[in-house]
Amino acid sequence: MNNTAKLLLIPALLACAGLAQAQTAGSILVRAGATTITPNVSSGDLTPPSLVGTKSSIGSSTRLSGGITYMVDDNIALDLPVAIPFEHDISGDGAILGVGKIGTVKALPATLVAQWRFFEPTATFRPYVGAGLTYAAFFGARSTSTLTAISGGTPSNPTTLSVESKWAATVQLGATAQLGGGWFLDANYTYTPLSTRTTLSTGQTLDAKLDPSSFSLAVGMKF
Amino acid sequence: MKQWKWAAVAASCAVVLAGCGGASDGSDITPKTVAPSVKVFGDSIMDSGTFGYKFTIQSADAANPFLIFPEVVAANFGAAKLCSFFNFNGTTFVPNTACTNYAVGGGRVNNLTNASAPSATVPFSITYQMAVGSASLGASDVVIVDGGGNDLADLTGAYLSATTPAGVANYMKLLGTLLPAATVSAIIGTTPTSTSMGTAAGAYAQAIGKTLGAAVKTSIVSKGVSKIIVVNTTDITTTPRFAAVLGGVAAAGGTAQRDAVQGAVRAWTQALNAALAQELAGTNVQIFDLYAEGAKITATPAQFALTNITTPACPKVANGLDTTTGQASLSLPATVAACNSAGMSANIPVGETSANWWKGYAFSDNFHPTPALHQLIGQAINVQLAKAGWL
Repeated sequence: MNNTAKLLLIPALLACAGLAQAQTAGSILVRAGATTITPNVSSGDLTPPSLVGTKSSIGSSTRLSGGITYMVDDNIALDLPVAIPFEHDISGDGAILGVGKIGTVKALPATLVAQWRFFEPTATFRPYVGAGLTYAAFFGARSTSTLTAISGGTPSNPTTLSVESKWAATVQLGATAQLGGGWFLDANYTYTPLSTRTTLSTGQTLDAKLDPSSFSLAVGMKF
Repeated sequence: MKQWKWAAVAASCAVVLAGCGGASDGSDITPKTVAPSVKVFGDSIMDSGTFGYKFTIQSADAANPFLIFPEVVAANFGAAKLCSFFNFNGTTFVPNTACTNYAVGGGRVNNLTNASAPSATVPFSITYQMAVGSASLGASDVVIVDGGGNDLADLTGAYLSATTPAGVANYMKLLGTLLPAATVSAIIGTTPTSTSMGTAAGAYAQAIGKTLGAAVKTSIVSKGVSKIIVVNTTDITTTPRFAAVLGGVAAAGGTAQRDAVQGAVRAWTQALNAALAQELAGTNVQIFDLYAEGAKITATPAQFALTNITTPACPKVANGLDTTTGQASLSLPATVAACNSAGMSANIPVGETSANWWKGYAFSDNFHPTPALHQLIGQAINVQLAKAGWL
């Protein structure tokens, strides 16, 4: 996503300033900010042929993000977080700990959350809890020359990898704080128990629990 | 107004999602370290074709022979396909100065024990290979060295034959090519025993390791080469050839004697490897512990996708068999011709079901790895080098 596209978000948000502040039924809340996704990896072993205990770890990623919330009634909301694709480093672990980065993969979690927002629509501070469904789309996996080297490949026959996209449940804790003039601050934490399978072009597979936590901070506007 | 609100929301949303354009999976193919040249010194398991073929299963696609492990390593340093510096024309070795693999099948650290060409100044001598290659070494070159397997085979053969006065004399003569005669006599004593001769073999194995390490320092380390890999000696008693030899020992003298001989050869191998490591201590050399790697593979072959680690995969053909063990040997042209992946896929042996049966075997002939085992060794070396930050 280029910078121009990012800038377009701002007038879209500003254009509607000045509307009523309360998050009442029928309100649409639009926010923009940043999200950090941190996988809590529990890696299985790469299938043979491999060294015993060949594992991988996945790093965190921070990206611009945002979201749209629709207030179904004064307390129930539907929330759709959006973000530009995350990019996670994949590194060797277990028997291959120390080989460094073996690849990167882009991730775009598409999530729809139903929320319960506490307190009155006019309250300055409204904590909320949510539960929903995530489709974690993994794409654009790119292996490094290190992965090729340690998996018996060569530059003319490189080892590639792909990460399986998966559906998973998501739970959410968050809060909004009114800033006046329809603006608000939103912070939330989500947890998604997610297991996926990485497949190498050699045919070997590695199953891992990713169980990502994500933390988002955003400024928004009520429409 | 409400319609406008939705339009604004939709526009914002579309802008955000526009960032998620698809991208297909791929790979960075530029190696972390691109070496100007990868130079290889050693014996048959590292020989890219001195005699016109590699000591492994021959590929049905002759233009793309299977890779041996130094080639797997070299490719990941960006090196072009390795080719043999020394090329045997049936009479003599003709150098090809465009090629950088100096390893020669039958190569020995101490080639004076080579019955067919006992000389320290022929390509069968690994120290000679290094001396020749040293002249053109650059500091940025990657160097891979192995050696010791054939020396241990010579040593074990002479030890097992030292059952007569003539055999003992031959044995002492072999040891004397590297150890001072007085040292040999002092260790063996006036009445040679299997124990005293075994102790002498340990001293000889140490001398082999020390000689190899010293030659690496003299010919390679001294040239300022920063990336040197020395592959130590694997447990040759796990090869089909030694299994057959040990089977003969068991038949003649019982399993206890077999176990004693196997234990002795392993002790000598470890003595060789320890002396090699000691000689290279304090240098920048990465020693790859093939002995330990081989032990891992032998202990859990399934983990390495191997289904047979004891039987040579090459077919037995007339004029292609080792005279000692009766097993297929890639030292013989008939076996080289027959040990071809196409023929082997077409002739599935009893007990196997897949045309790819040979891909699960560890040994091609009775002494040399299959392409599958070569790949496993190559990638294990690469794991070590990746941990060192080289790959």
